[in-house]
Amino acid sequence: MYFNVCYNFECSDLIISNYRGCEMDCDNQVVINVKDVTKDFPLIATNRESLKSTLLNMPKKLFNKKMNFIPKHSGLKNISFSLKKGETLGIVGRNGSGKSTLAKLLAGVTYPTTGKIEIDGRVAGLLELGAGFHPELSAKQNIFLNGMLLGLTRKEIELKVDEILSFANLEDRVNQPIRTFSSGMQMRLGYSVATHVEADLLIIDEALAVGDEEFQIKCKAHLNKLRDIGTTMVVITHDMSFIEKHCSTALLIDHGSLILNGTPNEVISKYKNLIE
Amino acid sequence: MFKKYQHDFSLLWMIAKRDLVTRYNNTYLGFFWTLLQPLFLGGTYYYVFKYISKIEIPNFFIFLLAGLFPWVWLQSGIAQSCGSVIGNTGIVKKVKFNRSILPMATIVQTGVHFLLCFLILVIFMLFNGYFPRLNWVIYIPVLLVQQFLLMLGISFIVSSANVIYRDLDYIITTMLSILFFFTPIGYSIENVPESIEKFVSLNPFTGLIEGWRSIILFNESPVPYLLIPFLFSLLFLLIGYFIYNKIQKDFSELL
Repeated sequence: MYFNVCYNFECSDLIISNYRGCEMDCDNQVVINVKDVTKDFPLIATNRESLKSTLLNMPKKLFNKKMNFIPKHSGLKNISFSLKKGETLGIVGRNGSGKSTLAKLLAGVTYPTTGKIEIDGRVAGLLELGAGFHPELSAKQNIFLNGMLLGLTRKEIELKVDEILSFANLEDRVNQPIRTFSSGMQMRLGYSVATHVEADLLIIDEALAVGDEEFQIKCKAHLNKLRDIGTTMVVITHDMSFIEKHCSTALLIDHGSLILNGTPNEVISKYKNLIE
Repeated sequence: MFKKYQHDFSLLWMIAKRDLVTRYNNTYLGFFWTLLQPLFLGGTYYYVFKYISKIEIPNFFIFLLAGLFPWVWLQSGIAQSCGSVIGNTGIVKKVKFNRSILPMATIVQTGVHFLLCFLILVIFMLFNGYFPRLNWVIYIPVLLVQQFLLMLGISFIVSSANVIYRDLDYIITTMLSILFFFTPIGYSIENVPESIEKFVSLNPFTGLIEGWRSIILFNESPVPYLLIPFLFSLLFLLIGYFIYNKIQKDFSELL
């Protein structure tokens, strides 16, 4: 029911070409299936006491008997949706609404409290660009470390290392420690590794606004290329024009609940109402 | 199935290598510190035990180093693995991978330091007229594996529990420095007074150190000494497996 009818043919021919590609090789295969997922944050994570604070709070607790427990903080409430192969899903919501928690759950970094997440295929999570980058290691060493963390094998990286470096425009600094790189350059390197992981599902958390304009254009073209070969994508961003142009479907999340699951245009207008 | 583990192994080695490479970054002596630190420690203990405590053991320097170097591995490995999850917060929170690699990589990384120290020990032995024997080929891997397993069990427990109770780091460091004196490193177990003999011989590290010594100094099988360490490593691995798996699920919230 969810995503069958929400292609926006007007917006760009990229999506149409993707749609055709999908028709050919993947009979509506479901890649993500999220069922009634609720995520509560564990009590110990929010309610950690030290000996010092126990002693300091003792008189307070003695005088007024009410213990003030921090209420269990819930991140996501009963989220359900599914996504088919080749689709691009945009997730929209205000800060703290639970978007990133959802991305983390999809990437497998955290586990849902209740409910089930089924994912078919290899997942690459771009929750942070250049995860595991060490400032003292060279660009090349960092590509290996980061690439292997993202699930590439050593051999695969050996084949791709030149391509990754040239995509990031950093061929001339292969052996320099990346602490000498500017932050934009480090981001570019991280982005370049992440997008060269041949994943079935790519999860991108606000990582699109990376580097200068030239690099951004390159990134968007690369993402289109990935989509054309059938990569499913989940994108979390505040960039509404990106959602409008590149997503085939979108979710609106607020206070941990799924408000709307529909076409990008529907979701964007609902989101705009929400902020006002 | 096998391929998955193969990837874990190469990632483990990658992380261990990262720690090895970056540890002595921007130091002039670099990797030499690996050897210098335990050697200076050995020299100091030699002086203290031999000339102040007046311990009379033939070839005391070799005797001391044969116990001290494995101990340095134990101590640095366990102490460092305690912070291995916290120290990798960046990747634990952002990437999905087999997280049990982290404490393992610390043990491997400190193990590489140990192997280099061991080489130095062999050189010292050659100067003192001891020669490596063929037996070593069998028994040294046995000892290495046994020590690895013992450390692994402990580090699974401490690295994950440390995420919730960060006191553990301090507790472990303190306990290890106390335990050093209740492990027969600077003295022989025969000289231990009866009152604490039980305690010393039940110490899981005692059998290990005795084992290293028996093969290095006397060319005898270390296996008889390894019963207690083996039982302890089974116990720790079992507890560690459950604790690590339980806490692992909440790593990303706890960090």
